[in-house]
Amino acid sequence: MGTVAGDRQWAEKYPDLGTGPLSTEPYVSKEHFERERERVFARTWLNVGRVDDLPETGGYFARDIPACGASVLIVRAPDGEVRGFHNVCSHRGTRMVRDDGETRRGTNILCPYHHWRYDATGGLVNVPDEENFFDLDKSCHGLSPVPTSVHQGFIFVNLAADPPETLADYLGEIMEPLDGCPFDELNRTCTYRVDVDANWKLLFDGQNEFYHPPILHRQIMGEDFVRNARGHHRYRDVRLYDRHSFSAVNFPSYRTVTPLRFALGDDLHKTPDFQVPGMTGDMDQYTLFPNLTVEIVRLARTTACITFTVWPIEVGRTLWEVRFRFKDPVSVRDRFRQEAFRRVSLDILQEDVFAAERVYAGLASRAKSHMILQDSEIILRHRHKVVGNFIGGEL
Amino acid sequence: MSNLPAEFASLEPHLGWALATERERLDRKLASSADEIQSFYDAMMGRIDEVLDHLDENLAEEMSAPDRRLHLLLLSLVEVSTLVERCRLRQPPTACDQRRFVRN
Repeated sequence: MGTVAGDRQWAEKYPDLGTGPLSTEPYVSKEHFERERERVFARTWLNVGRVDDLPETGGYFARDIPACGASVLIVRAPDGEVRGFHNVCSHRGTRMVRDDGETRRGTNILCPYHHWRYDATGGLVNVPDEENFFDLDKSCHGLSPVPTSVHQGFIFVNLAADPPETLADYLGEIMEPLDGCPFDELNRTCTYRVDVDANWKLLFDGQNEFYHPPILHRQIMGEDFVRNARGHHRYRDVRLYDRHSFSAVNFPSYRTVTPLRFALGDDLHKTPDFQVPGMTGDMDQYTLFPNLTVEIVRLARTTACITFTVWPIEVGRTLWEVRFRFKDPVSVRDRFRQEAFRRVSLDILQEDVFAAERVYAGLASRAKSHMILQDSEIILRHRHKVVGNFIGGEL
Repeated sequence: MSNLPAEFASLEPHLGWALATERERLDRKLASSADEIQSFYDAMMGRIDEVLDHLDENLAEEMSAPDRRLHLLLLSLVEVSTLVERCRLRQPPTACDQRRFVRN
């Protein structure tokens, strides 16, 4: 599918979003950020990882949620279910486990302060010098549960004690095309974290408009775009849901192959190493509001799943986590095709971070009260409206 | 005992690129001159099919030390590849410092 769609088609498909300029205040206003903490991050389903991060019973990891001053422990319980708890000791409230991206083994969650110990069901199982407490009933002092739910292997938590919607209702139908994706075979993973001086929505935005790649990434990506007669790209598809969004782009069949990729066996013929039956383009992107983007990319012979999670810290500071997932390589060339894929992806992401920080710096100067969006930036317009719906009107 | 499999003795001048971690390979790339990077890239690409075939034939859980070094050289080749093949050996001015991407 090398066809390039015409101009201004997405505004036609989604006329309710309008075409006018958007206020820049939501990117730089501390008050707006406070409302996002309370009404978005403290109330929506947030992705914290995948079930493959917890292959064994009793395994657990910690995930900080800085926007809410919270940290959760995600545990594989003995019944095989994934459960979430606040990462807070029942004794004197210590945050117990450090969020270092590592999965820990074994069934013991130990508070480093006085060694109170919890099992994989969150139950308090040991208290040193218990006899010196007063009427301590351990069965009443387990870890505080956090609503936790799993969809297609993606683990989500909701910091609202009583979430207004189930995860299934919250997600709706957006993920259905991923039903046949062999996530459980994508065992080769690597994760990067980068601390970005930009509002969280700018990282979201950079992943969700295809106006910039042929321009900002022109060196790295070369001819890897389907372009129209004027040299610009068009989305293959855009689907907007209540909160979430989907987009697909195609790569051209005449894409350039560098000498290294050629040596590694990446030629012009696309014979991907795994198939996702519901795939629309060569790069399908599922953005689940507010913090997860799942990207399936098919570049010549390598197919990869890349997940991006955004963790706001302050109005102008965000932790960005990028995770690559590949199938186990079957040969040296296969493995190094994956390495080359990861290298070029990182080169692109370095430019995305550069752009997000430059935009934030510009917006924070408040020189501009509005931004102007074109048709390939329609997902930003949608996201702006979704955030507005959550926080409730203008400040 | 040689540092690399005997048939790859011509790559010995570039052994400094046989580095065990991603961060070390990155640091070496950032600290090297354009000429050093080009010369390493050319040396590796000149033998690339043989290197890949050799490693494919000797793929094992426990690689011999010379094979392991050859493998690490290949990882360094990937590390410098975009810079040589796409960026004419100049880091794009529109990129953040790569070291800020901290690998878990």
